[in-house]
Amino acid sequence: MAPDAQASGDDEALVAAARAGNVGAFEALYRRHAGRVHALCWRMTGSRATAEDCVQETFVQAWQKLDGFEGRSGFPTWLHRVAVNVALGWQRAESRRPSGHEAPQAADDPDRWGADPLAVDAGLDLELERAVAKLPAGARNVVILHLVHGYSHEETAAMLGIAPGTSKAQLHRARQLLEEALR
Amino acid sequence: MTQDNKHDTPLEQRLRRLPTDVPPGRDLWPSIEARLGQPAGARPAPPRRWVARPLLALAASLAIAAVLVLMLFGRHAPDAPQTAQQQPAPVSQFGPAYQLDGGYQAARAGLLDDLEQQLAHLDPAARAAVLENLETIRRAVTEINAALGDDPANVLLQNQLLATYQDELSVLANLQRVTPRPPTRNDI
Repeated sequence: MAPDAQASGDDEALVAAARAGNVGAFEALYRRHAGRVHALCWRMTGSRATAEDCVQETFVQAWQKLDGFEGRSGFPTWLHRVAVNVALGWQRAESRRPSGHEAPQAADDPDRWGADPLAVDAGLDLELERAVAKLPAGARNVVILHLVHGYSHEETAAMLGIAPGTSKAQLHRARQLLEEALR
Repeated sequence: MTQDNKHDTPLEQRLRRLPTDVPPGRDLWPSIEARLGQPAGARPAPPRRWVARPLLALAASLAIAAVLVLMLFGRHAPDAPQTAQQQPAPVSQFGPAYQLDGGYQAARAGLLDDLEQQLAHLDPAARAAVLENLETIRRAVTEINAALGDDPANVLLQNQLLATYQDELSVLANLQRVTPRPPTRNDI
């Protein structure tokens, strides 16, 4: 069995056990997938503190919604979808804030990520991460889901609640902005 | 996750090499586990420190600001126009532990009482900008409260609500700083 299939098989068994109320099985799912959820939350919110809240919220919601998981997309994709919804909720609330009023957990300054041990330990390409962090939210979300996490435009669009054509247009815009920023 | 990556540009290849697994800086499982036994929509218990601290700080700041305003201005003139107070004070609705308490409401009301007096010192453009800012904040409070009505345990929304109340405090405090103090008996 290929490693992915093995992991998928393990996920299925763990999801089944978690559905039956086995918290230990759900903890195993957390241990296995927290890093991927955290990477997504961190890039979508641009804030370490908010990313941690986003991870917690994602797993709590996943636990509450496990009965609705039908297994069509695989547990990691389903979990990412929950995380994207949580992060989008944060982005929407953030966008309502009047300009000039910074939230206590607003996005971190990407120019200071070089001093963040977590960013350094994770082996991030800081120059590129900074450029991605400074993209407008719509373009940034598409870059994160489509290029970094490898979802198709259709999957990306479904997760973000936009049309696939919009996902492609946002990617085109993001490419231009990133090339300018990295020039 | 099916994609044809053959035609990737160097930039796209570089983006695809970014790590997709970045573990959190600390173990979040204990906080998650503490919330699993609660029914959907339940509030996390005990309240997290970052929820409690801003609220306390906000209440304390408002109380101090209210005292300063009362010392400097006294109560507002009874015939002051009321154009800036057309909407009722926004009230948090997502659970008793997060209700903004009576002290906060009283302090906020004190600041709002003096708002008209302070607005009167501003030129029309600045006055309009302040009122628009406050209106935006109140709309945000209403929308976040509505979202919390559907999802009361969402810590991100809770944090947004507290931050939005802090925005309102900032506007009121900034207004207090930039408007001239009216003459008092001692100045004459």
